[in-house]
Amino acid sequence: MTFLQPLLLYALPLALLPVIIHLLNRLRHRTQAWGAMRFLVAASRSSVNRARLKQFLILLLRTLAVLMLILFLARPLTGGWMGWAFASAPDTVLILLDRSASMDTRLAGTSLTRREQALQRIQQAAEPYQGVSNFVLIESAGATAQSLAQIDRIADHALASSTDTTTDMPSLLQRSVQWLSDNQAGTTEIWIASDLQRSNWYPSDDRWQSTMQQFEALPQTVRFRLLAVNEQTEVDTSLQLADVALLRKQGQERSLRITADFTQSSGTGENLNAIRTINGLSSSVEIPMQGSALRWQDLWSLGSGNEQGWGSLTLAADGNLNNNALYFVFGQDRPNQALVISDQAYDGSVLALASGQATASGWQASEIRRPGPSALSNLEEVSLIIWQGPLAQDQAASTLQSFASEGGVVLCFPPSKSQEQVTPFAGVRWVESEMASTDQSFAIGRWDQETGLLSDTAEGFRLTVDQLEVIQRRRIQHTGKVIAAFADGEPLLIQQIIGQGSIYFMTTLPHPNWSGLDQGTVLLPLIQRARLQGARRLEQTYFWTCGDVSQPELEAGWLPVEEGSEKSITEQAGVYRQGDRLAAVNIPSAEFLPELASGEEIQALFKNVSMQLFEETTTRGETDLQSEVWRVFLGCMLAFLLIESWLMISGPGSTAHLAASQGGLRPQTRSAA
Amino acid sequence: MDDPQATSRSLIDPAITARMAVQPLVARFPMEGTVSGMHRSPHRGSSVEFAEYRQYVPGDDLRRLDWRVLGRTDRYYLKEFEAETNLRCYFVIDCSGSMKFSSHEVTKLDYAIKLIAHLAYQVIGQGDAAGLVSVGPRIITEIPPKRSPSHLQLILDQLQQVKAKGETGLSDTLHELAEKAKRRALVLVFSDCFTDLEPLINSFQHLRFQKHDVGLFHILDPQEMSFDFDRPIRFADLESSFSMVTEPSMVREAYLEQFRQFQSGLQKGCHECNGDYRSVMTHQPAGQVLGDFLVDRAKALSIR
Repeated sequence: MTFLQPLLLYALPLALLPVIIHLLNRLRHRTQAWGAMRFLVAASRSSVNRARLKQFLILLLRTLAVLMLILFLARPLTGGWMGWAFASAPDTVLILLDRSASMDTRLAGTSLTRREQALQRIQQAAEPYQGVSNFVLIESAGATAQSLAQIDRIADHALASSTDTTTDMPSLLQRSVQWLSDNQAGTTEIWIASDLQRSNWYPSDDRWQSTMQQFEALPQTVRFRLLAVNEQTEVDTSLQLADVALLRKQGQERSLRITADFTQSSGTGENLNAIRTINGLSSSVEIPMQGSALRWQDLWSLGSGNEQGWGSLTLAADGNLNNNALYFVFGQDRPNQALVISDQAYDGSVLALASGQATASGWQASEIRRPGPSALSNLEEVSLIIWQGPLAQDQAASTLQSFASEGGVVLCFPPSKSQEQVTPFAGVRWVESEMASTDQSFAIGRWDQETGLLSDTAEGFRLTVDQLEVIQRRRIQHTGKVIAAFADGEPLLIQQIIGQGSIYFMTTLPHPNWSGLDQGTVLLPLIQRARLQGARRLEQTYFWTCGDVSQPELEAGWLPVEEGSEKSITEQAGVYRQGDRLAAVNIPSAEFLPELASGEEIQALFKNVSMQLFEETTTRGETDLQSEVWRVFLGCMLAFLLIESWLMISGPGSTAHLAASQGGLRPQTRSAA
Repeated sequence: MDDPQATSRSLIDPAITARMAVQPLVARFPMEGTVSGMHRSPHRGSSVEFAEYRQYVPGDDLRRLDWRVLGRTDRYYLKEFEAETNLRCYFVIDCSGSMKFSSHEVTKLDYAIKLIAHLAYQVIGQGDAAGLVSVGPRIITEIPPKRSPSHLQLILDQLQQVKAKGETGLSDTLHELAEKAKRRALVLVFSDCFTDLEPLINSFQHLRFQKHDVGLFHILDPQEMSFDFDRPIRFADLESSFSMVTEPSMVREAYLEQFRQFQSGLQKGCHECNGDYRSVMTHQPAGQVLGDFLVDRAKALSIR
């Protein structure tokens, strides 16, 4: 426990005042001549023990009352309701600050964001510990541990500022347990300030159990205080980039197709005014917002040039400024080719034809190579690799994964014959094939019509995926995302995102014995889109998530494209340049998921450790993490005084009883009989 | 030089005597006096007060024959009349050390002296005899009862000189008085009775056995009954050198209980031996105490 007026604690010896007064009274006795001595002697023999006990209790209660009074005047502080009863200031206070983008949502009725309010409360709570405890800040963006010399200036600290990153709370806690272990701090309190966003806390993650066990195993006492800044916020509209595609028809201008998701915290029904910017040139656009969510697509003309560039779409200021903008970049047109690796003549030729491109001399099919050591050489101008056959292994698998991570696309088709047990590739393993019943085919159940390789066209036309006849398919073991599936739930097309690119797995072949893919109505747009997607590999442009940029890239020295901007690629979304390269950094998609974890869920995560959750908004003037318990001491003092008064006036022979009986004994007169 | 008579007469308050004058001091039981008076005698006499009928025996005075009864019944009956005599009153004053206690201006001894002085004045004034016995550890002074006004002066002088000192020998003195007093008398005891209860009650019973009318003025100080002390005190015994330090609040309850038991025991003992018990506090007006005493006695006598 700490005190706001600690100097008053020097008055604690005054609690002995009743004892001293009692002793002085005993020493200061006067002499009284007394005639009824026989009664006094008899009384002393019979009652002294009980009376002494009563006297002792009265003295004790008076002492305790004085003690409570002094403690009450010293304004004691403790966490919650005696949660830290009589605990001294900790040796170390670790402050885990959630700096994710959602923490910069403004609270309803105030001008403060969640982060600012959290910092304010931390500052107030830390005040009594100033000069006593060591404060260390571990923030969510970089998980760096920074010792704070002046806790009262935490709000101004660079590591407490807003970011466009997301938070991985289990990881942050693991970082803190590591710090405690490395630094061998004494008694520690860990203050967590967060909005309890579920996508940050991962309540189902297995890491919680192991992390809590690590805390339990620490030699020092660790207590948690969780400040949940999850109050109601102002109306906020967020903007998330869903897809960007650079389109050019031969001989025509380039255009950029932007697909964006708008989400409003509470639907206002009003259209949104946005500013779109391309290469520094801005124009306004009205977004017809109906309801609280909208997927919006727009085609922006880039002219006939071939330069790389960047752009953004920005909304007007609202409850959260950070999620009001999306950023994108686009590169130059570069020749890109597709490469087919197949040992099946028919399948390979179909795939080569589908992956070809229009040239001046007509349609040119892609190159076909047979599987082998040199099949994956010279990939400088390749954007799409179509791999048909047994899963790539060893060097080939490594090459393909590198290809994908650079932004290329790998489209895998199954082998016509079953393979022996092999190492999975990209989390996928081909299993046995199966045939549909006679005169029937495997019906297509669903596919992603909004984004990806099978999405509807820009004009809104749907690909005829549901009309695709599949009479033979190969089952698959996978960990990827299902883009299309059969009616019975088996996947048709799977995507594994690898770095900047993707590896797709189609579970049927473009062969009459397998499916109608060779007819091209589905295969052609699928492959062409994959090729277009893979062209990113050849570009100098990148799409990254804020906070997820690799260390080598961070060290490359990326700067904001806007002159004079002080944005940091590690913490702020925007467009950055490094030499000829451009990178669009956007807020992680996890920050757009508004669900918050409940207090009960969070409590359940902190098993076997001492944790206090401060969730309610308190009245003005009170701190959350530290609450004054002076009321407890005042109540105790009054209780002690009441009991002492009762002891003084209770029972026959007490002062009040004597007063009521007009001097104790009534004179007994008897008339002469 | 102080006039002793003047000093003695200062014990007497004319207002009190005037109040007492309306009601004489009477004995509750028949007394044996030397002269005729206004008090009942155990013997039959020639007063106007009819007592009873007695059958005629040869030799009786025929003047006392009731002729009306003879005319109605043809039987010979004599009228008997009450004999009236004077009162012999002993005032016994306790002069032990405990009588020196006072929580205000008047000690218990002073209060007793005042009561005795006025009662003696009343007794002698109504033609009865008054005597004084002052008791300490033993009898200090003894003045036999007499009727003359000069005897009153003697009693008042003696009252002026009594001092409270030493322990109480009240029980032994009362036993001695019970034997010494030949004729039936009224014995009024003025004491705080801070002595063993059983011997005291026995002495009352002895007096009653000897046909004396016993009255006890149990004189107490208010503070002895309230015990309203609030801090540790060294209590020093007035009758000995004993003292003790105690926390009054610790023993108050038990002290009051002890006192209550003593007082009720004393009252019960007086009642059982037909004694007249009166508890008086030294802050009560003496005139009212004495007036009530006289009236109560008269009422008791009329009831009989």
